[in-house]
Amino acid sequence: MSKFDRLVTKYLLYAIPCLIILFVWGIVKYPEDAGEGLPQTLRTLWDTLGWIFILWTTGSLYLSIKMLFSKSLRDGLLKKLARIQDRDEREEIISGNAAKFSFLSTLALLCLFLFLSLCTMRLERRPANDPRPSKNVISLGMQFKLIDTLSYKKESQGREGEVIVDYSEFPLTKAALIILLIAWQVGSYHYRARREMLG
Amino acid sequence: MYNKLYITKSKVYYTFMGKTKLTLDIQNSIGELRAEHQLTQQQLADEIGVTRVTVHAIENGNYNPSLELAFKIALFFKTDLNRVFKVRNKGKL
Repeated sequence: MSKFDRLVTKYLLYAIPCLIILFVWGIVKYPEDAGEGLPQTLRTLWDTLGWIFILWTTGSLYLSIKMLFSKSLRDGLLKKLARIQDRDEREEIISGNAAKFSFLSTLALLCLFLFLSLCTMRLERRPANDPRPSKNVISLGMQFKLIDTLSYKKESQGREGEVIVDYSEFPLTKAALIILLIAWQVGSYHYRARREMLG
Repeated sequence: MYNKLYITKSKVYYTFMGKTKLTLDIQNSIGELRAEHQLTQQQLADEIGVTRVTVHAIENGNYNPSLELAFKIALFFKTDLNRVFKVRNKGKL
């Protein structure tokens, strides 16, 4: 873990109280006219907290992306959070077995979720005067959509003008997200295993 | 406590084509050697670079160390590997 990453991690941790203050302030009384109506001290404080939040969001995004690719950062940060111990070969074997169990059980769970996300089922009861012999009908099907179109908000007008970017949630559908996770899990496993085998 | 002879037993199963072929009983005399050198489990663990729990697990036969760690233990006690680890039921693979 580099010095910069350590600095960002510490900032993310120590800035949490400021974020709590900001959120509580925002919930209790959101200063709509933060630039005009508030006294100078409070306005400065609101702006400072806002900048802390901007930096915190940027730092979180940086660490989240870097954690995907940097082994040292993952080991330094996530191992502590997940309380994984591998101080010697016996603990490494135990961690390896536990990770294998966790990997396979998560994969099984993801497969179940994928199945539930892809499948559609409809049970219908036909009207009594329907000439067809079967009265109850069950329809089974499968559907897949890559992008969740409902998550897009097509508002072009904001409070103070034209909206350029409005990001509110991850645009992939549940099924697409699960497929992405399964592909990442299996892919990263084979990538690592291949590298370990080649030495 | 240190005068007691520690001989522990650990079983190794060799599996071939899904069937267990051979069982090895691996015994170790780490406890005895530790007693000879008047060392605690923690001191031995520090010397060979593992945790105390691992030394305890090896002594009790709950964990078979890697070849590297086995040699480390033997080299630390300045003895032969066969003195530290002994195989009982030798059979055909």
